[in-house]
Amino acid sequence: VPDEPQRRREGVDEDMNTMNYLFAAYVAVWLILAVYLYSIHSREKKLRQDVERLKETLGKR
Amino acid sequence: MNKNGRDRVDTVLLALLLVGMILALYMAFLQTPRESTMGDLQRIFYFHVPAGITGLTAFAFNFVCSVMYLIRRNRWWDNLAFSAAEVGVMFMTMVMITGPLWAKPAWFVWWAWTPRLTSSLILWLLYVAYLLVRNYVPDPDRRAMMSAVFGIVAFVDAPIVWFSIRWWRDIHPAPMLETGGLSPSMRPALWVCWLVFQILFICLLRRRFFLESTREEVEWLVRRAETAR
Repeated sequence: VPDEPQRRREGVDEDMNTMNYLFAAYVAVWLILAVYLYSIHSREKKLRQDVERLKETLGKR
Repeated sequence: MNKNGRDRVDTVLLALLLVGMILALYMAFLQTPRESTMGDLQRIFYFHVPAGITGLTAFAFNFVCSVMYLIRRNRWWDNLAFSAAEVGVMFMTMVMITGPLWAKPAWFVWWAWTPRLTSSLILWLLYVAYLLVRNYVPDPDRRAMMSAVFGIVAFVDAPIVWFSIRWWRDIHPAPMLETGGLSPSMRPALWVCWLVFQILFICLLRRRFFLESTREEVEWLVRRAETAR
């Protein structure tokens, strides 16, 4: 049977381990959101450039 | 709605989202008590569950818009359906990643082929396929028609995901709000997180829909440029 300090140490290790998973899940959520927002932003930027370019081309004709 | 009105709605939504996110983080990490069995690991629940409900809401929205497209044959509905599906896939991706991160320390495995997990994976794959298939149909009307039918068929899996833990034996936690398994002190945090995810869904859907409208404008300008040659 492990003594009291050893049991306490194991409890702390277990807590740290679950905190790592919580941290990873939290980072994953923010990362997915950030990547998605960046993808929307870059697609929007490219399409706006396309609109300007096409309007310019049509205006010249 | 004109551009000024749209900007005003966006500002209000973003302000609500910012305040809501700060409140949700405070409630999920500081205000709610530590769960007695799982400890802090249970706090994954405050964004895993709202992300799952929001993903299903997005797919339900896609279903309604797909039906509306088949009735009205208006591309506006197709753009809205496509935007909802993409945002829904993003929320379901959060679910598919945070779930195994909770399962590993709780069940000692990353994944188990249980009804809830399997049906969720199928749902995610169906909507990823929905997004991919659209790229291979160049004709906009055919693409819209095919997507509407695909969206309606794919949604059949959503009720299976929702009811799987009620219909079959599963190691996935039971619906805690219905069974009363969630402590009353943890409920406000869950509701606030749910509300924040719904506001986030509306913000992303609006942004994605405007992007799709710009894409439509580009397609129209390209056609005009080609006929002008």
